[in-house]
Amino acid sequence: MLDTKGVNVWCAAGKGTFGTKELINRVFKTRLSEIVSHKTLILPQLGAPGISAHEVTKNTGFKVIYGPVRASDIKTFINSELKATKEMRTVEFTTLDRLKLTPVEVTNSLKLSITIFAIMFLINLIAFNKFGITDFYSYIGVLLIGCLITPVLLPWIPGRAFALKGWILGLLWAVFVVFINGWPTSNSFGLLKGIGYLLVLPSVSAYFAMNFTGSSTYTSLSGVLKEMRAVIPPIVVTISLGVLLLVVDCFIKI
Amino acid sequence: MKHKYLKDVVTLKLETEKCTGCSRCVEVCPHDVFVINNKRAEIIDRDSCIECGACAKNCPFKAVTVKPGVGCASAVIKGWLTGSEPSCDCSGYSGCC
Repeated sequence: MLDTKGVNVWCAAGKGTFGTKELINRVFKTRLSEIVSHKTLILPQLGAPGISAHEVTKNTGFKVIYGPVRASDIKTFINSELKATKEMRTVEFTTLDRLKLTPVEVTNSLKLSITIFAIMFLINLIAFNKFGITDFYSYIGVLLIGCLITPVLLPWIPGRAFALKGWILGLLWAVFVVFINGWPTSNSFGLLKGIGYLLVLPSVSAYFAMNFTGSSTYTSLSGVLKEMRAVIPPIVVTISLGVLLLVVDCFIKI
Repeated sequence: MKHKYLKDVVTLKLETEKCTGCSRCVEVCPHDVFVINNKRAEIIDRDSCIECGACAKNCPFKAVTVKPGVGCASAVIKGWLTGSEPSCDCSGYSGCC
């Protein structure tokens, strides 16, 4: 048994806590060859990024067979003479899988969200037009869109980059928010605020959605780097510009 | 529904002449990137590769190479801020990698 400190084997393999050296050491330390009569180690398949099977064999004499991805398939795997089917070897990312991961995303955004609300509160102390309930639910809306709705609807939203998917849904939300507030015809919701919303909300949602790449099971580092290089500059520019408009709007007397 | 990420971006390479058809890469790949065809490995779905590095690490003949890494934006940001390589160190965070 290799202790990965509660971290799942895939991450542990990536980090090196489930690795070739650790495995070889453990085989010797436990005197495994004296305990068992066979010469086969069955490892979880997702441990493979950390293990070099041929080096384990070279050093310990134990042959390595990779088992299935999911523990629930182990019984079938053993019964079929240690042969895993293509399905057992493949990592899925079902709607339920994605839904289960969304609370983590929401929790991870809490610190940022509290900071944003704190800044809005401070601005309110000196502003003419104070931030209010509309600003609050607009932000909570993009937070939920970027951290929850985009991940759940992931394969059905157009585009491949996560940020783009988040931006699209965020834009729909922004348009909805400004529309129900009577923009652009109503005076209660000025031009600056409307444009500010349309700039800020989709980009915030895009940023949150981009962070879901870490939870996904199908993104590569090269892909994520390419996505980030493409989307971070426009996200920074639109959020800065939009926030500027929203803040200026707070200090203009209508 | 099979998820698709960005096209033509991964660092995965296969040198067929070094391959002996042991099929270890097929065994370890979580995204069905390889098949064995005429006793040699073949990449059939390169864009599904997530650069986990399992194939390269487990290829006894060094026929497969890939620059392994975690496809995680927050890890990349953390790496930029701390000047280190992006690593999967959000402990207790079961979804990461």
